[in-house]
Amino acid sequence: MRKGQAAIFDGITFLLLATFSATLIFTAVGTYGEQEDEVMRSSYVINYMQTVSKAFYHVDAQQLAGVCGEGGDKCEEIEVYADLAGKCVELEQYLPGISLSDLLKKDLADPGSPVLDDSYGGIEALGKTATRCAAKEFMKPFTSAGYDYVIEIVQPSSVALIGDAETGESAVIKTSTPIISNLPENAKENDYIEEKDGFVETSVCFNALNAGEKVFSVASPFKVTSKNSNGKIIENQLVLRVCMWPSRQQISSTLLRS
Amino acid sequence: MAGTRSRQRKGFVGPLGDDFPSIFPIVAGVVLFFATLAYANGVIQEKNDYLDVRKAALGLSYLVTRTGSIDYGYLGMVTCSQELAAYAKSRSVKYHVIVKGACNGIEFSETAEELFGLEDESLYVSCGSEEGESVAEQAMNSNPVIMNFPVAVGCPSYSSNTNGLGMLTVVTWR
Repeated sequence: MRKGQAAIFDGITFLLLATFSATLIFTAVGTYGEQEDEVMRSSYVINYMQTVSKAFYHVDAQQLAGVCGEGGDKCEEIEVYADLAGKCVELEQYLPGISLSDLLKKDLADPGSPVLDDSYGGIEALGKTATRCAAKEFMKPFTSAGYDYVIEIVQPSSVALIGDAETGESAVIKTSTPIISNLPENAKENDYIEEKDGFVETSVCFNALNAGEKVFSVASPFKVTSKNSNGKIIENQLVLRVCMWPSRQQISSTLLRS
Repeated sequence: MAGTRSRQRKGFVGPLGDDFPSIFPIVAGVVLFFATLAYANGVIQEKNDYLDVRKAALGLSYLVTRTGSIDYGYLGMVTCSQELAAYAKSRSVKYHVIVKGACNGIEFSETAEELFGLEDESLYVSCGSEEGESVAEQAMNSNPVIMNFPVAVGCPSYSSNTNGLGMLTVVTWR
């Protein structure tokens, strides 16, 4: 090889090395900070969900009567909230000072085992409805962004808050349908909502997690005082769990408008 | 002898002239490498700035949302002017906190003016590091981080004793 040829070969080799280095730098820069950004986005979502749980303690049930009413959304046009159209207004009957959490605790204070079904031992206590009305509004920013959510009450005594596989004991408090969620009816096909005789006894949150959804979850203690069959006052240490995950289902245009 | 020497030097244009063509790829390689470094530095700086502001926004929002309900007086007198101001100063960011009532349901703000609640009936409390009417414009021109949170506020009006739905917005920028 002549001297001139050797020199140009060195030059081209150097250029190739520089190009390779530049490519590596571009790749590294492209992904720089992505993980940190994702962690901070998750922190925001979790902080949002914690704020929702906190707000439940402060919002008066009576003030939720305006949800789906005049000046609010037309719920009858939104599939998952269609039944709320005439229900939130019923919350007007409660006195000022009765908070959403008070009503929810009343709903769960059934003699015997607690059931979330808008009634307290046969007497109307619209705890589930009030929570659905509040959740519809509070979760709106995330619902519009394509997230699914579910709010469930859990027995903390159960293994890992999901239930005991050996005994078959369910962790989730029995809830009448529709549950507190924005999951559309067709979610049943995904086995997220396991309905049996109008009640759901399995964790929708856990089912979503099992199905591979990226579930964010926040749990807070929720003490319910009730009377047992002997009339003795007992304290039931329950857990209020809020779960949310990016939906893989097609977002309907009506849901986007909500 | 002279003929042999001329055959050996065929195509030889001197020590500098022979190496001259190789200078182009070498210079191109050096320029490419340093340009990439400069670009990468700029991008990393920009991303770090964004992440810093986002971190600060999260910190500010933790301070404001710690109770779940808003005491307007406390927010204006203590939280905003003391706690948030001190935190924002330590992170070198500007902020604005907006509390709006949404008694009949939450509605989204579509413009900066709507978001900042200027001349908005639903605006309950607004405070921040910057004062004046241009704060919305200033924030929106500075690539702000906006975080919304649900809170309990007085309903059906600002001064009501009963609490209803409300929305808290924390806007952070540098």
